[in-house]
Amino acid sequence: MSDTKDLLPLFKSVAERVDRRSFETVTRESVITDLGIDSLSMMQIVGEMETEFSIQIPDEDLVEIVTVGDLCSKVERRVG
Amino acid sequence: MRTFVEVLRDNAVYADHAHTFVRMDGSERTISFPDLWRRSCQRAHRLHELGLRKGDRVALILPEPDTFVLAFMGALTAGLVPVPMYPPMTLAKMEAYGETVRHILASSGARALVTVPGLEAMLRTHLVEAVANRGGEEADVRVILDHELEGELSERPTAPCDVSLDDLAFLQFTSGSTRKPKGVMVTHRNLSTNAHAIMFDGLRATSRDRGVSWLPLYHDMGLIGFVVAPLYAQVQVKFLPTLNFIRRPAIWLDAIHRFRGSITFAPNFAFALAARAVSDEQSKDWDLSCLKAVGCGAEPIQPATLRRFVERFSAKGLRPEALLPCYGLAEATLAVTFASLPDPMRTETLDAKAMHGGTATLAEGADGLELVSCGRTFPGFELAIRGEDGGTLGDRAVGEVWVRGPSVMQGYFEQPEETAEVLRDGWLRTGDLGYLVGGELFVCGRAKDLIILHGKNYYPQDIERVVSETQGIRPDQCVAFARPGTEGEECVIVAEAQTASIDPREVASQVKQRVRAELGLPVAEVVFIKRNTLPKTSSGKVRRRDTRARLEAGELELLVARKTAVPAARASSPAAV
Repeated sequence: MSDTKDLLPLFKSVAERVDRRSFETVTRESVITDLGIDSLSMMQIVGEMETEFSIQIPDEDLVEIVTVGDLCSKVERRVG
Repeated sequence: MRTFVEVLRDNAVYADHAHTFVRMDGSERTISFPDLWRRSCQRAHRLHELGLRKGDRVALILPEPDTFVLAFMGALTAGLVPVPMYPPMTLAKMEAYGETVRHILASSGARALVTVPGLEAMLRTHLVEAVANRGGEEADVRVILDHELEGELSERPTAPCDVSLDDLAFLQFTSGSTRKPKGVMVTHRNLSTNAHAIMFDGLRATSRDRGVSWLPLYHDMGLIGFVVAPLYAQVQVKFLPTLNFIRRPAIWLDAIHRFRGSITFAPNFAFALAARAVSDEQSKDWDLSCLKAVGCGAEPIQPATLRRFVERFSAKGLRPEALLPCYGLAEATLAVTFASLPDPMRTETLDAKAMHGGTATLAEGADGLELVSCGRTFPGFELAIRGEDGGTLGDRAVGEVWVRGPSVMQGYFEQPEETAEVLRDGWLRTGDLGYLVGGELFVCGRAKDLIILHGKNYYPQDIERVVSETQGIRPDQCVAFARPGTEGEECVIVAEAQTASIDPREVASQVKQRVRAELGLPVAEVVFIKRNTLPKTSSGKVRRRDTRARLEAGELELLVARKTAVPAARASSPAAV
């Protein structure tokens, strides 16, 4: 993890913007559906993170995302 | 007046016209107008070969825009009654999805279901249950995969049967959260009259116009507004998948720029999303001066959101007068009113106190509730505002919006009681609150207290049930309602606390989490009030609108002071009738 950027803070701020509520206590282990993030919000969050770094996560990778950390890792791998 | 099938047939002479479909993987498919007719006829014959006959309902669950549109047109050409249904989305709550699928399959009495191989196994399990609920057997409903509808195209295509204006065209199931959706019966006459109203009276469209839409095709605004109506005016359309827009909002305006789109429609939330999520880099080359009609409808319209959208993109050539607020509902096929095309958006700022009393009086100062004019109804249609006793009210009196005209539905499929509740002497009771000024309609709320967020409907009773089950809340002593927020409406709960010693932060957090988890709805604020102070009717029913008005007026007996006061201009709202 030394040279990769931790994207948890970015996830929190994007999710807060998209869902208009606080995600202060979220960790990388948090399960996304348990946070009450629905599929439309999830798409917006993924899209905003992709736009932020001008990257694209393939659709088939999206189904593997269960936790917040899963999503962050997918983005980190493409940014780092 | 021609039926949609006759329009499809007659459009086959426009070989230089085509629809463009963007698929979910980003690839494009172009289908010319002659090809639309050839493929519709070929699919229609195939559906008859598969044993389906005129009047049979056929459910469609097809995620890609091109296959959905071809199957829909093929079914209409075959004289069948398509039942468009929404496909499951990634991470969607599959349990709730299954329930809706079973309900629609059973209540529409569908004889066939057209879908894609990837969804077949999942849908079959729901189908078995749905058929059993209707007292039938699995073999009664045929599952057809979309590629089975393909076949050889004829050079001289013909429809397999006649379709007339008074035939049932399709069933539009109204969206609902946990309530059972109802099937709106739309006839070919309903479709044709509404298509004429939209394209010619509302949009003054010509064959030089071009439409761009990412709207879901299983709902009225996307389906009638872009699949059906444009063909009456030979308008070519570019269709984008809904989820692709949600993930990358820039593709909507980018498609308008590239395709030189002149007509587009979206609900309020999409304008907020586009203004926020499109980057300067994405929009740097755009020229949006081609847009002549940017329709906004389907959920409460917030003037500030639309203004922000125009400000954000005016440097790209977007003209403020292109904004076109409109009003409609599935029970009237789609459109009921359109703002005047050449005029900029018109709003009124109203006195909050007078609105609570049921009168739309203009505010003295700048503070007050700002509402958008949704324009006038179309030739051949009538609007009325009625009070609770059914009497017609005059200008500026707030009441329920009623509409009469050739696009009003025949009723809800196989639901005579629900139909009788909303149809009287040819008039449709919309369930929406509004007022008229010289024929111009301003919509200000919903008579049934329905909460609409991001295009989804939530019934307050469902939210209140979940809140009631939360530790620290007095059961059934709470109400849920919507108020305007910064980006569309937001949900507020007012609840009596179990005891005065609850930890308000903890209970509020519990309430928000539970509502979110069970209904998928974000709650903006939980307000705690003292025991036995929730406004009720004499028969003990909660009074949502009264509670909301009192909260805004500072008249509720709060148990805990509110963290942030909501600015008066945003908080005020009509209570009325």
